[in-house]
Amino acid sequence: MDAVLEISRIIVPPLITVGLGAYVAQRFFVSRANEGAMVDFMVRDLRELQNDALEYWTLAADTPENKQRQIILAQKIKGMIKSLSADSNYYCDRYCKCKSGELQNLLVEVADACTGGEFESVRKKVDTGRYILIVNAINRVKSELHRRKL
Amino acid sequence: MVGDIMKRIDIAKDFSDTPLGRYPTDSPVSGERFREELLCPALKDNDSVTVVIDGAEGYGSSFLDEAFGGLVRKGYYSADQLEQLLKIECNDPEYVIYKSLIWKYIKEARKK
Repeated sequence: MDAVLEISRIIVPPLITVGLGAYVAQRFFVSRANEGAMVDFMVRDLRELQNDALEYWTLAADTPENKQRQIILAQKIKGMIKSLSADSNYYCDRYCKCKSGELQNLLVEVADACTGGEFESVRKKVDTGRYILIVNAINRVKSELHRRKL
Repeated sequence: MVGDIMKRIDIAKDFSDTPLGRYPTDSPVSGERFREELLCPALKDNDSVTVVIDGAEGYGSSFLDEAFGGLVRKGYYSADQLEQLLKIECNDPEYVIYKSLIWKYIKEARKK
């Protein structure tokens, strides 16, 4: 009996330490995996926003079909920006509390590039100059997200 | 402060839940119309105005720039005055970005 007690006195503390360590490590890797999945999700949304915004700003409203397409794209762009705003807030609250302003500021630039100027205006013309603004603004957000993921 | 008159404008309820466009030629619920018919009179008649941006389907920067940046560009108020008079309220995280955009346009309009 004494021998059993002696062995358990030796074995139990390391076992508890290993168990706790494994739990902490598992929590860490699950959190990193979730963060990675969230980043991938946001990057996918950004890519979609980029495609829609580029199509919107290079589409001439010269036919009823194109006008209709522009209306749909404008709604998609606004919806995507709203969704990205909510996702980035959630992401920053959960994974990078101290730096939430940085990502938000980058998204403000994206919203400005995608929906500024003559957005939803009857005077809107094809604006190829906006192409580079949109691509650069979105790429900055993507870079920041990838940097945090890695 | 005692005696202050505060006005609250809920864009989705008091104006439109689908605000869009810069000028009235773009849409009947444009930024210019919001500024001239709701925001300016409210700022003129009250000590402070709270604009609630929650609830709309989304905002284009063109609408926000004209509605809020236009206050400075048209010479109604300076950006410093608006910091005292105007409060933008949003409780839904989807709209936080628009709050930042509004203050960006107000501050950038000052530079023009």
